[in-house]
Amino acid sequence: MATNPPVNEDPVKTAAPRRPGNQAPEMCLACGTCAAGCPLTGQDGFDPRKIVRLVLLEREQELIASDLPWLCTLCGKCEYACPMGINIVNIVRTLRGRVARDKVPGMIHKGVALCRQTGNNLGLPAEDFEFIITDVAEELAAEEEFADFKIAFDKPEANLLHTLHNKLVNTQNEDLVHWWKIFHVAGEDFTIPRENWEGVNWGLFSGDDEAMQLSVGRIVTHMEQLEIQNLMYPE
Amino acid sequence: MSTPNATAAQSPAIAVAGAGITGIHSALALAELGYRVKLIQQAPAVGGLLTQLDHQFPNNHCGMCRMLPLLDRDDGVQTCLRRGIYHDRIELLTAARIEAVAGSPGRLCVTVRQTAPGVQPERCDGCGACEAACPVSGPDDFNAGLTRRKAIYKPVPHQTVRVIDWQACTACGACAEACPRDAIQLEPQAHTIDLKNIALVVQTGGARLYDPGTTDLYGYGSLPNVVSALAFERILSSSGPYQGRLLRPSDRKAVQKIAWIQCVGSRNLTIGADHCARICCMVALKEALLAQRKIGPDTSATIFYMDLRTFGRDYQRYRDRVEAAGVRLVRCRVHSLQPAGAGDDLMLSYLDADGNLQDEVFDLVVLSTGMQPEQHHADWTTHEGVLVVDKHPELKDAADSVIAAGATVARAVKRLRDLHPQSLPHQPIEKIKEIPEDVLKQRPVVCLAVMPSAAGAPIDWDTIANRLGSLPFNIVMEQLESPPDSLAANRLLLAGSQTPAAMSALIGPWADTTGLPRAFLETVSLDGATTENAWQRLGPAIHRLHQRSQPAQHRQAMYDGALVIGGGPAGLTAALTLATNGIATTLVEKSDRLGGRTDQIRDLRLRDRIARTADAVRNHPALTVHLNSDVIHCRGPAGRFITQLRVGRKTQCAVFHGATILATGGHPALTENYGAGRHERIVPLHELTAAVDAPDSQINRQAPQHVVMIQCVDSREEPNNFCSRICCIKALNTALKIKQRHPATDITVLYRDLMTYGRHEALYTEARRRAVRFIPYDPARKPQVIVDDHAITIKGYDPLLAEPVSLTADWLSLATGVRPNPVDSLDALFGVTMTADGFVREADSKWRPVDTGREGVFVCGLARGPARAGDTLRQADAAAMRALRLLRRKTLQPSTATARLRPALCSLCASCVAACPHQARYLDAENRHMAVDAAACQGCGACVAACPNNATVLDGPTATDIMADLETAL
Repeated sequence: MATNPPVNEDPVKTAAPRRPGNQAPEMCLACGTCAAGCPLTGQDGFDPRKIVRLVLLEREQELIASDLPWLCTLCGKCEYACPMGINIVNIVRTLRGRVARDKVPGMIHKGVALCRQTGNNLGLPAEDFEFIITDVAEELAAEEEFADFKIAFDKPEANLLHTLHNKLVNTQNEDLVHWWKIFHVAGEDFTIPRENWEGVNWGLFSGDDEAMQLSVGRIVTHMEQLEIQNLMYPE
Repeated sequence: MSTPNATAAQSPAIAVAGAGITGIHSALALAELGYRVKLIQQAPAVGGLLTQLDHQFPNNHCGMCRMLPLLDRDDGVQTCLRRGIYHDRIELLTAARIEAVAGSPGRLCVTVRQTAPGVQPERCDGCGACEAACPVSGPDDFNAGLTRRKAIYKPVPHQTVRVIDWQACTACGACAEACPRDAIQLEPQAHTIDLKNIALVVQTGGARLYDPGTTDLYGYGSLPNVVSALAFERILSSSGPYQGRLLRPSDRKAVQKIAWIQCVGSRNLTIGADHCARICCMVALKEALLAQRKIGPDTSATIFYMDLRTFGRDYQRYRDRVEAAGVRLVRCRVHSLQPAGAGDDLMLSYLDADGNLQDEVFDLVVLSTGMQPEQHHADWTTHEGVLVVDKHPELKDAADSVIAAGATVARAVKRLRDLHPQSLPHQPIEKIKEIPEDVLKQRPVVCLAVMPSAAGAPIDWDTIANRLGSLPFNIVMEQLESPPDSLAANRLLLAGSQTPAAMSALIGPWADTTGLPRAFLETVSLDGATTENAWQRLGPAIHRLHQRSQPAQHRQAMYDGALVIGGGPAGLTAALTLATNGIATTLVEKSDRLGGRTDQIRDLRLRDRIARTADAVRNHPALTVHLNSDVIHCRGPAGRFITQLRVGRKTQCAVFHGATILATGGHPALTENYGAGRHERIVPLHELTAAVDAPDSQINRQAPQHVVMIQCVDSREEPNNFCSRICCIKALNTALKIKQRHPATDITVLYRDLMTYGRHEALYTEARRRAVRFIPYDPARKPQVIVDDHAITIKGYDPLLAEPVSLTADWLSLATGVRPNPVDSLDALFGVTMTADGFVREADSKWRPVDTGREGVFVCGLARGPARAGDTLRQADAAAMRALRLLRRKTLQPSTATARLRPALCSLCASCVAACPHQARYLDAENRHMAVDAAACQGCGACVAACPNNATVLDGPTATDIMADLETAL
C-alpha cells in the first residue's frame, strides 16, 4: 500500500541519467501516453507508467525484486512520445543496474561476465577467433573476383576499425562475407582486432555501467594505439 | 457643414486592430458610447475563428448577433455579424494590417497596409459569375482544407461580395470578362494608408491555433481521417464540406465511431507548450454531443483526455449532460495512431480505467488542437497609446473575450478622458439636429431625392414626374448629391443606382444631416432599372413613406445616476469606473465596511489596487456610499429605475437611477465532510493559504512533515454541481509557498480534474517539479479522513497503481469552493433570473456575459459565478461600460422597430410579459396598462403576436406595406 514516501539516500528518480531535453520523473503527468504506446503493457503486469510512479514514490525495491525491469526491451517508444520528456529508458536501465548481478537474467549475465574476462561475450580465445575469421576470409578469396581478399589483424593506421557482433562470429559467420565484399569492392582499408573485438555492449542491457565502460574503453584503446579514425560498430 | 456628423468627423477616432470577437465587441462598445472607430482586420472578413464555428456550448447555437447594439439600433444594420459590421460610427478596413504607429496618444498616426479586394463592393451584386469562370483551384482554408476553392471566392459563405486571393490568382482575366457589372479590378494589390487623428489603438487577438502537422505520431496530414477540431466543426456545419452530413474525408463514408484526442499541442514540454489551451475540453464535449445528435443512437463518441477542464460556472453540468447522452470519456493520453488494416480506419491504443491496454478502431479521429506556444505582438504594440487586450494572447471562450474587450474599453475611455477633456463625446449622445415634432406630424410631404448616379438614361424622369403627379400625395422631386441642411418635406425617398446595400448605408448620414427620423427615410436602388422598373420600385416606397405615422414613442428622459449593489472588489471597481466617467453613483453595502472579501485575494498587487479603489470610492464627489444598507424594492424600466433603500437599518431613501449593477459577491463554502471541525489542522483551503502568507503562523514556524490537500470538496456534484475555478490554482500556489519555505515537506494533492486552465498550467508543472504529489480520486470513491489520537490519516485509492493509499497529515486542507452570497429575493427585486446554484444568470452566457436578462441591470463578480480576482475586476469594468452606454444618454430614443401600446385596447392580461424574450414589457401601475421598456425592446414582435386585443403594434413595414409592395411587383 502506498504511504507517505520513505527516505532514500540515492533514489533511482535522481540517479537515472537524463539525456538533453529529458525531465525528471517528478514531472510525470500520469497521462498514460507511455503505457498506451508500449508494446509490452499488460504482459505479466508490465506498465511503464506504474514503473515511473513507483520510482517517484521511491518504491524501487519492489521493482528491483520483480521481473518487471527485465520485461522492457528498452525500445524507447514510451519516451519518444512522453509529453514531459521523462527519461523512462534510463530509469529502467538504472533499476536493472541495482539488481544483484547474480539475479540478472542468465544469458546477459553470462555474456557480460565473459566479456569482462575475455574481451568478447562468447569467451572465445584469440587463436580460435583468428582461425574462424581467416577461414571465412579464405572461403571468400576462393571466389574469382575476390581472389586477393585478405584480413589484416591489428593493422596500424588503417582507415576503419572493424568490430564484430559475436553472433556473426559464432553461428552466422557467412553474414560477415557481405560486409567484406562491399569493403573489398570499395577498396576500404579496414582492420580487425585480434582481441577485444566485441561489437555489442551488454552492459547497456544489464545496467552494468562499469562493464559498459570497460568495453568502450577497450575499443578506444585500439583506436588510439593503432591510430585509427573510423569505427564500425555493429550494435 | 454644421451637422453632428461633421463634428464627429473632426474628433479623433479609435483604431481597433483585429475583428475577432474581442475586436468586434470593442468596436461596437466604443461606437455605442459615441466614439468613432476604425476597425482594422487582417483577414478579408470579420469574425475571426468564430465564423468557422456554427455552434457554441452551452446552447449549441451560434448567437454572435447578440453582440449587436440593443440601443440605437438604427445606427447600424442589424445583420449576422459574419456578413460584416455596419454601424455609422465604425469604419471597417479588411485585408489590412497595422504596420506602424507614430505620434503621441490623442494624435497618433497609424500606418496601415491594405490589400485591394479585387472586387468593388459597391458594384458587385454577388451573382457569382466570376467564381464560376475562375480556372484556379486551391485548398479552402475556411473549410480547413477539406474542400477546394477558386482564386476569387467568398471569404465567408454568409457574405455576398467576393474577394481575390492574390497569391493564387494568375491574373488570367476570366473573372473580369465574366462579370456583368464591371466590378472586378485586376490590378493588385496593396497600398499604404496613413490614418491620422487616431486617439488610441486597441490591439486584440494574437492567439493562433496549433498546427498538428508537426506532431508526427498522430499522422495528421498523412492519414486523411485524422482531422483537426476546426475541420470537424466544418464537417458539422451545413455550410461545410459535406453540407452538414457527418462524412469522413477519405471515402465520404458516413461516420459512426469517432475519437477525440485532447491536448494536441498543449501540456507538452517537449514542444515548449507549458500551457493548456483553455477551450478544447468544452469544444470536444460540444462536438461529441453534436455528433451524437446528428448520427443518432448508433454513434460511438469517445474523448481521450487527461483532465477534463470544465472550469466555468455551468460547464460541469454540460459535461454531465454530454456523458448522459452516451459520450464516453476515457482518461488516457493517446500515444499514436495507425492505419487499421488496409482500409481507411484508424487504430488507437489506450489504457482503460482498470489499466488494461485496449486497441480500438475508429472511423474518424479529431485532434483537439490547442494554440501555438510562441505568441508575440508586433513591435508597434509597445508604442504609447496602444492598449493591448491580452499581453499574453490566449485562446478564450467567447464570454471571456467579450469581458476582456469590455474591460479594455473601460481603460480606453479613461485614457480618452485624460487626453481630451472636451473633444470626445463625454456628454450624452444626442442627435443635435432634429426636425421638430410638429413638422413631422403635419400632412406628409415626400421628397424624392434623385442622386446623380440615377438621374440620366435609361430612366425617363419626365414620365416618372408625370406619374408622381397623378398620385394623391404631396411629392417634391429634387436632384441631390448629398444631404441638404434643410428640406421642404417631412419624408425622404433617396433614389440612386448603387446596389441596395450601398443605398441603405446612406440612411444614417442622410437622417443625421436632415434631422429626419430614420423611419421617415427610405432608399431605392435603381440599379439596372428601366423607366418601368424604376416606377415599380418608387411607387410603393412613396406609398409606404406617406402612410408612415410619427415615430412610435416620445423619447423618455433618463435618470442619469447608477446604483451599485455590493461594496466588494467588483462593486467598488464598477462604482469607481462609473464615477470617473462623471456618473453620479450610489453604492449600497450590506455590511459596515467596504472591501468585501479582499482579504481572500492572495495577489498583493490586486489587493493593493482594490484598497486604493476603496479609498477613491470613499472620497469621490460623484459617489454616495451607504453602509449597513439594503434594497427594499426597485421599480421602473431601464433608464428610469426608482429604488427604495433602507439606510443604516432605520432611515429609508429613494434613488433615481438609469442603470443598476449587481455585485453581491460570494463567500467560501463551509463543509462538514472530511473531518472538518474535528481537528484544528483540518482547515478550509483559504485558511491554510492565509496561514502560509502570515509570517508568524504555526505552519511557517514549524516545518510540517506531511501536508495533504483534498480538492473539489462538496463541489462538481449535486447540489453544488459546478467548479469554483479558483481552488486548484490556490492549492498549487499554497503548496509551492510551503515547498519554498520547507522544501522537505511532503505535499500530496487529492484531486479529480486539475483545473489549471490556460497559463495556470505552468503552476501545475512547477508543483510537480517541486515534487508535489498528485493522486486523482473518483467521486464514487472519495478519500476517507480518520482523526485518531490527534493524528490525521487519509485513506484513499490510487487508480494508477490500483492500490489503496494511506497518508498521514500534519495539515489537511479542504477546497470547499465558492458560493454566491444569499440575497433575499434578488431576482424579484431586480427582475433577474438565477441559476440553479443561486448565481445571477446572464442574458446570454457567451455574448452578453455581464448583462442580465433585464436591460439596465448588469452583473459582475462572484454574484455572476466563480471567478478569480482579476476576472472579477475585468467583469466589473465591463459591466460599468455596459451601464455607461445607457447612462451617456439624456433620453432614450426608441428605434424604428419598437413595440408600441394602444393603451385604450389593453386589458392588462400580461400575455406580452410572458411572450417577451427581452423583459421589455411590464405593468405600468400608475397608468393602468402594460408598458413597453423602449430601451429593452428589440422589435421582435413576440408581444404583438401574443396580444389578444391588438393592443400592441410594431412600427416598421406593416402587413399593408408588404401587400402593397407585392401588388406593385406583380
